[in-house]
Amino acid sequence: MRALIAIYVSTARQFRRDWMALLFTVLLPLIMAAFFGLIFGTEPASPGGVPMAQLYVPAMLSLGILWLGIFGTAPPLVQLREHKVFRRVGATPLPRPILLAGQLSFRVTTGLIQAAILITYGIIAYRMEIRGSWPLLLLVTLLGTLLFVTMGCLIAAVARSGDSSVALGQVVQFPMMFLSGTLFPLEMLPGFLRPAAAVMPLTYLTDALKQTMLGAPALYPLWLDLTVLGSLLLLLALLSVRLFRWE
Amino acid sequence: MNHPAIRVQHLVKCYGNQRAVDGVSFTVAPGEVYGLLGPNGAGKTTTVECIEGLRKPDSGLIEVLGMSHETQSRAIKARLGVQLQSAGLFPRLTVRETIDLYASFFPRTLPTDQVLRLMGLTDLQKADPATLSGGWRQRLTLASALVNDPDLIFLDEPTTGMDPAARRDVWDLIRGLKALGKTIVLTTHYMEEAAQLCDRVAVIDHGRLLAEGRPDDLVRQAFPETAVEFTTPAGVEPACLRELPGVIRLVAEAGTCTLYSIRIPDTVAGLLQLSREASFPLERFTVRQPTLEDLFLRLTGRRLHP
Repeated sequence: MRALIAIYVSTARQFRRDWMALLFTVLLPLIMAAFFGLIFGTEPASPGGVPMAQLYVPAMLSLGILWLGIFGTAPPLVQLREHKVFRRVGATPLPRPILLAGQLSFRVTTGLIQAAILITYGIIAYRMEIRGSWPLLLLVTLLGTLLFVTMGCLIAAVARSGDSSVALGQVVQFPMMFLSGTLFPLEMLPGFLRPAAAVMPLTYLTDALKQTMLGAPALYPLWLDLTVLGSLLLLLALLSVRLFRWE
Repeated sequence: MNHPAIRVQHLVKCYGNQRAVDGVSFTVAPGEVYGLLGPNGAGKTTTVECIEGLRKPDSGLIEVLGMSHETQSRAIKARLGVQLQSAGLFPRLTVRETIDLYASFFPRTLPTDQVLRLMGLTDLQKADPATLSGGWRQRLTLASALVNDPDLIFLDEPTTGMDPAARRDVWDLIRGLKALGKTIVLTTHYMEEAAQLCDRVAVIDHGRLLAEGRPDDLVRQAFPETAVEFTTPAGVEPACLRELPGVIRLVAEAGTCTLYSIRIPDTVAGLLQLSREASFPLERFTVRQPTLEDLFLRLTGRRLHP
């Protein structure tokens, strides 16, 4: 337990000193939320509807969680392998999965910090109200973060070097960003691209966050979002356990 | 302690169908500094990893501090100190944070300040290891191996990439650890390092232990002769040098020709005459007593440190 706490605290320090992780997980989602707010304005599209600017708060949280998993998790884990930290720790009494658990658990709590930052911004800048449900919002944030941090773990398992983990991350994030209703509403996509949303994991996180944060009109019922995210988490976790290499 | 620090018997470890370690046996006594010599890929790293409990041997017996990894791996690891060459450092943690984090992995540890002082790192405790020179980073990896006040320490090429002054410093640190009664297993490329530090050495190549003993004894037993060495002259068939008087063996490798002679005056006279007659130059000509390096060359046909 002492070791797990020490690893958690050290991971927090490493993360704080990692400009790429900070940029993608904290700064960019906030900047983009402000940017889209300026473009689309704070007026509701229809009377009683949710203003576009507010919709970008859960959307950018969703994107931030994706980046936390891909850029905030995969390269640092590959680095630990490249620096032979996993090998070195294998010769101490600490079981290596605990090192990994400490590294990952910090990132999962980072998802909550991202949510707090963006929600605070939404409340101050757009007078946003949480019209969904706080407990469900917490659940969706945690589940989404777990899913994408696990995805980062899987990328780290497959990538041979830090550079290739970033490249692989780009390949994974690019279609998700555009085709999931996160960066642009799905209605803005040409008709033939719209079905692609259904196979993007991020679609379900964005949808669930919009519902639970703002009570916004949904693509899918919440139970379906949660089921998809949960099953995918299970699948990626199993794959990660199979494919992860300490050396 | 009435059991050896390490007992390895008939250790075999294969990767695919290649035998990385092929029946190695040796024993290290408590308080001893034991050197493993061999080129890259010789099997010394795999041997060390099996003793550290990182790899499972395919067959053979390993006993560390009287215990077996099969039943008491964590108890063994609590008393091991492992230094990896400039590796095993967490990115973006300072010197002190690195020591503290490693300390949290062990049940019993030394105070961080004491470890820092022991390695002369006190003034650098807030530095980022990435900004340190190779020598200082090496000291940090060594410090991280000492946090648990280990009984048995593994050093992986502890002075590779250091300048001679830094190397001598680290040698002194290692002698200090020996004086504290620690058992040390050292892998190295540097014959001088092995000769300076090790009570006994083992020469390993192709997964086999080729020779073992005190460095001086090994060399004396292997070589009653003296070595004559020079740059292999262009256009001269080395085999004809073998016919010089007194020469009992010749090794021409990596551009250097080494004659082993039991009658140095005759050999040198003959060589000088031949050089004059065939008008080839004798560059970097030296006569010296054989060293561990020669022993290694004889046993493996390769130079240890190219």
